[in-house]
Amino acid sequence: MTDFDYQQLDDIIHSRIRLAIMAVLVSVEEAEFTFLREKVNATDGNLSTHLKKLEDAGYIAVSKSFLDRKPVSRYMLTQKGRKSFEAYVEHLEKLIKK
Amino acid sequence: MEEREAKQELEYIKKIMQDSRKIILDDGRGFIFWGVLIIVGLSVTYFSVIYKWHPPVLNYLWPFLIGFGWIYTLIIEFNRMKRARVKTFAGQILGTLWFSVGVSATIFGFVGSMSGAYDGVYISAVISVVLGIAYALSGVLYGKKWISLLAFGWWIGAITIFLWPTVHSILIMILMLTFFQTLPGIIIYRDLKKLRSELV
Repeated sequence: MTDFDYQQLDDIIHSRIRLAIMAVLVSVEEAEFTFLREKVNATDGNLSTHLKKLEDAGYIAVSKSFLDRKPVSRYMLTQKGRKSFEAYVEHLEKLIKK
Repeated sequence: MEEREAKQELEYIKKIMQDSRKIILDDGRGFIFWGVLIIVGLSVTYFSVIYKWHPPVLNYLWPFLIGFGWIYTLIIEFNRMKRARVKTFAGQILGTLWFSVGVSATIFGFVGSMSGAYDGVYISAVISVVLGIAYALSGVLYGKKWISLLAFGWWIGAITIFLWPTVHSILIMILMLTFFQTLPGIIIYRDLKKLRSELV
């Protein structure tokens, strides 16, 4: 173990599924729930829980609408979420360099 | 967290980001559609000039083809945007770029020649210059160098038509549309279809 302060790692992002969600949303402007589900390989319930956690932290925003009478949820990264993700990646890089 | 874990985590992030970016691109159907449409129009125009065949209905050929092309494209694009499961910045730039190219080509094709600003024989050359710019930028957005290199094909063709403007210039444009637009469109479509089936 290095002297890198792992406590600095963001607990909200530091989970496999939430990290994957953030990584997808950093790459695209906006993504539908079904797209995220395919990309992160999660069940509907599991994904919803993690999305709610990210939303509560203010890392992602959701817009809900209807398409052909079916509800559609689109997720996007907020400014705060983008900064937190960048900080998270930066911490990982520092850890490797130490 | 150990160094090894951090490396794995970064690799994981990198892979997800790369996969997500790949799937966002246009599938090349627009290239094929417009390529075939304009080839049809140019072929009819070429033979009508060569065989001196000018029925009045031919006056409506280009307005019909371009009008049909725009209506079809707008309907398809509107539908695609409405149903798109992801929206990306690169995708938006690509869409705006080709929309602008379409508008510019329509202005050059109709307004430019009708106003008498230049002879109709130069339409293909002027449009080829614009298409060259669009292909150069599209290659960067697609992350494919060979698409950017197509720009040189369009520009060389444009120079040729500017320097040697004859009725046979239409044939050069047909060749360019076949090899620098329709065929690349087929390759992009095939590649993206394969990629999407692998990623999803």
